[in-house]
Amino acid sequence: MQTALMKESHENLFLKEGYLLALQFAQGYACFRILGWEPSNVKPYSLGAVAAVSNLAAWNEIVDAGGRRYLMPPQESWIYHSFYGVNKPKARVFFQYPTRQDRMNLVAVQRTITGDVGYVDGEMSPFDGPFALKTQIFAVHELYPAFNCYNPLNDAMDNVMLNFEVMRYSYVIIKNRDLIREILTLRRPGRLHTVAGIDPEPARIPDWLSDLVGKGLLDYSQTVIEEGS
Amino acid sequence: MVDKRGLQSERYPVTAVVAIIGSAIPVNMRRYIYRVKVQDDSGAPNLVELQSLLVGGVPVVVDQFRLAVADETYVDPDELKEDALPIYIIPGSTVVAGATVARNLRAIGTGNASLLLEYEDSE
Repeated sequence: MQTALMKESHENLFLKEGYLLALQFAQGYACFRILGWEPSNVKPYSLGAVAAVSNLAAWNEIVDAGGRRYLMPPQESWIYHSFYGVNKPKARVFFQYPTRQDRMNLVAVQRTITGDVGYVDGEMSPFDGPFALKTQIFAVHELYPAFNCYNPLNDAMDNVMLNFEVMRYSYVIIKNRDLIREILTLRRPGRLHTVAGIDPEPARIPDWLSDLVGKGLLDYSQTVIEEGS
Repeated sequence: MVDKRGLQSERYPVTAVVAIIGSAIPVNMRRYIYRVKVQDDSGAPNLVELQSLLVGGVPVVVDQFRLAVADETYVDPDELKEDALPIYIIPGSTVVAGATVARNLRAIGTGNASLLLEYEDSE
């Protein structure tokens, strides 16, 4: 019924030129330096009507009419950083990232899309913002999320909409081990982010990015994280 | 405060026979009614009653609307302000021994009428 007050606007969480970013994948961290940024948005993105006490029949990968995914960089040279808000206030948006991997579980049993666990609704993350931190998504080429929606009310929702704000970054991959260690041990200001979540594990790094970063650096980042300095 | 994105507007026909109007109020939520409009359709003075009923329980009269003149319309509030508070708060359905027991709104008039509610179901 009331709009949640956010501690911080999501806009303050976007990265700027020169910022350091370390994305944690299942195999280790990939570290980047942001070269440039460009904002964009998808508003409104319609998930469609949701019947009373029902969920959508299929997961939605947030695509345009041509099936192209809005939240996945179409090229390897970009990273997408996005947040979203939800309309209606009671529409419960569930999240898979990567696709078919449920996220935001809280209990040992599998999260369901008709349950009371692991969703973002329009009160948590209002359609017009500021968007909740829990809606933050970092995406690289070949890695994208999917969404579903549950209507807990006994009245049908005519149209559930999402409002995505997307920041597109250009980057270089950091290969300097000293700098990687300083980023991962928090000696250098940088943004560390676990891609997709921790249960059961972060998203697996796409092959193309793994090849660019190199297995040696991924293993090195794991060693730094596990053993500190 | 009213949230325009969560607000529902529903019109219900009212007759001289008491009947459920609208959907059951969800469990763990309450129905916040922000605006009501009652219109006589009987061509005579009318007394419209809004009730809530937990299935198996005793109806609770939420409010009565006396339309002293034929075809009279009663509206409250005239204009819904952004910072409006609900004028009625109806408890939700409940769970007894693991089974949901529905709570509904009901309405009855001394003759035909129309009832419009603007409401939001929320925790």
